[in-house]
Amino acid sequence: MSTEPLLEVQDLVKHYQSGGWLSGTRQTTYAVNGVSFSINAGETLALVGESGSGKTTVGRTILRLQEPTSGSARFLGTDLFDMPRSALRKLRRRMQIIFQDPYSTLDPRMTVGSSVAEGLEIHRIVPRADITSRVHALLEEVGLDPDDAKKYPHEFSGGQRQRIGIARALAVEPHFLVCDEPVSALDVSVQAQILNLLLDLQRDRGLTYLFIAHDLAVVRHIAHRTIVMYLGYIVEEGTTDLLLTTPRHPYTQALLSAVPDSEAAQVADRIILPGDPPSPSAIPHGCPFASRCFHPEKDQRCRSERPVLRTLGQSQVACHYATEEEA
Amino acid sequence: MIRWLLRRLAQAVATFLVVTLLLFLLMRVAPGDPLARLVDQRRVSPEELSLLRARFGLDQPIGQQLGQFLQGVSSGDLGVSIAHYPDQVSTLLWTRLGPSVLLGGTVLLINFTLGVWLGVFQAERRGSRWDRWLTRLSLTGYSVPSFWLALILVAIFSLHWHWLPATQMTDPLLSGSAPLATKAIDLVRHLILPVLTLSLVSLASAMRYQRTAMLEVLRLDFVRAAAARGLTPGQVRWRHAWRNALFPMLTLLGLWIPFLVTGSVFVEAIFNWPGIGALAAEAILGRDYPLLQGTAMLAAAVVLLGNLLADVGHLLLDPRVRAT
Repeated sequence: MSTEPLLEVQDLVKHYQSGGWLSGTRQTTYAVNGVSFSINAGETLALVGESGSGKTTVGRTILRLQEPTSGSARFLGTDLFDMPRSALRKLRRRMQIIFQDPYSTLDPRMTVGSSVAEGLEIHRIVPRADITSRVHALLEEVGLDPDDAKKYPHEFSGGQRQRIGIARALAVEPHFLVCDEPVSALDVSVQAQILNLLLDLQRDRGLTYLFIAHDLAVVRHIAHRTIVMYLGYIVEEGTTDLLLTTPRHPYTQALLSAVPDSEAAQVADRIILPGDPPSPSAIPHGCPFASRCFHPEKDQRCRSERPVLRTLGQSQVACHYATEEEA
Repeated sequence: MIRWLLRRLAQAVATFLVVTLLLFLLMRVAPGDPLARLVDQRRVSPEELSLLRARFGLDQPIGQQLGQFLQGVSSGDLGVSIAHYPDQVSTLLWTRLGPSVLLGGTVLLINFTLGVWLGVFQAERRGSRWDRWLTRLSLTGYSVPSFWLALILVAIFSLHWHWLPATQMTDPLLSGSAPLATKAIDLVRHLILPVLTLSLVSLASAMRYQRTAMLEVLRLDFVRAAAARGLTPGQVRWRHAWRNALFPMLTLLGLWIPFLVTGSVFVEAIFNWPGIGALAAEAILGRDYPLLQGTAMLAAAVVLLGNLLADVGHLLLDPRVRAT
């Protein structure tokens, strides 16, 4: 494994402007507020948080499917955010994305075969004559029948469609895959199949994943390291094992207690967070989590001073009062 | 699929028959007499009048009239026009079809190229200045009555600046032996104002439909996936997004196909365009039963045809529809 990470994201910020002119007040949505992380080749990094935490925005922005507000993302030695679009298009074969919704991820008017083949054609991955056989091989690799190439997306189940989406992403031979909640919309029995497929592919192809999820249950089988996000901030980062056994941040503890069969849920009482997260267009001044925090030492400092990520044991935690011994 | 098509066709024929029957009855129930105008214009003796009634079959009981009418329709005979006596209704419709198709076809062509393009353009720039101004302009056009706009355009371009002819389809002074190019230019000059009128008032609906359809598709993941695969913005836009945003346009086109044939009554009348719309206006004013009936039947037939074509289009283009 090389010493330089495959992807290094620094201070990623994404703010949306909405409204303006006739619609009255302009509003800024602070979706991602200075997120930094790196992923090593062959590793899976999970990004966990509830909806509105900015995790999907992070995934889309580092692929520049959305333009970042500021920050940098070094990938294979270049800054993706600094790159002209034409050069970026060539690099796209090295990074792909898998989406959450199996029903909108495939073009309804394209056969499965042409969806998978399109990437091969654009990036001239194989000679024209070999496209069909490569498409068949890719479908087999994700557990589908080569004959499925002739069918249309509506003829498949949700799980099968996710497999097609994966085959389509793999066609261009990427190093790096953003998996944006790829199993959240699937039945539990199918979830495991897709997760196993992703694990197999990682082993066989040496893929690197950024795995986005909204709970910790899915993540523990697949991610080496996990980042927990809240309101566009990283609140905790560490190896997945560590996060699952000794969560430091109150929010991580709450997330963990929501996992049905986790140890934390058995040991401690289940933590039910009061209320909803604040709106990303009106983020509190101090700790973003303060309004829902149950930490006994929560005080005025939490409301006024934003905690930065600090090293605590082997984790990084953004909480004024998190301590090492407590779990 | 063949069975579906046959069933659809049978439905259309049945609908057409019902419409024909209703039209026939409606026409007889309506107040006014087709020969009244004739009587207005010159002195007609009662004997003469009853002779005329007998000639047009107006003296027979209504059931018999209907029977004769349906018999005629089945053999393509729509009767004889009263106002244009002794011209056949079918002949009249046929000679007026060309100009209407020319006018309507040009307008549809503009709506479904420029309108589609502008709708896509707007959708990709939703909320931008371009989007807002195009919305305002197109809706302004949409809200303007066509006859008023026609008169304003005539006042500006014909009466004030003398740039374009105000009426007719061709210059009556142009000799028949003039070169083809001269004739074509003459035709285009006559076409500009009516086309401009009809396009300005109808472009908005194509634009709005396309904008909405495109916005719905643009937020779907397969569009993002296409961009992520390294397609150019143009490829993403047309090959993936638009191909899935054209179905509402297909329906809209089906609804507008009748417009090709029936034209616009007001606009054709104002520009003295020798189309079917103007013919229908004449028929109404002259209480020309057979002609009005023929025009309305043609309109009904084309409405049904337009719907059928849209359905077939869906069938051919959408794999999901094909499966059902």
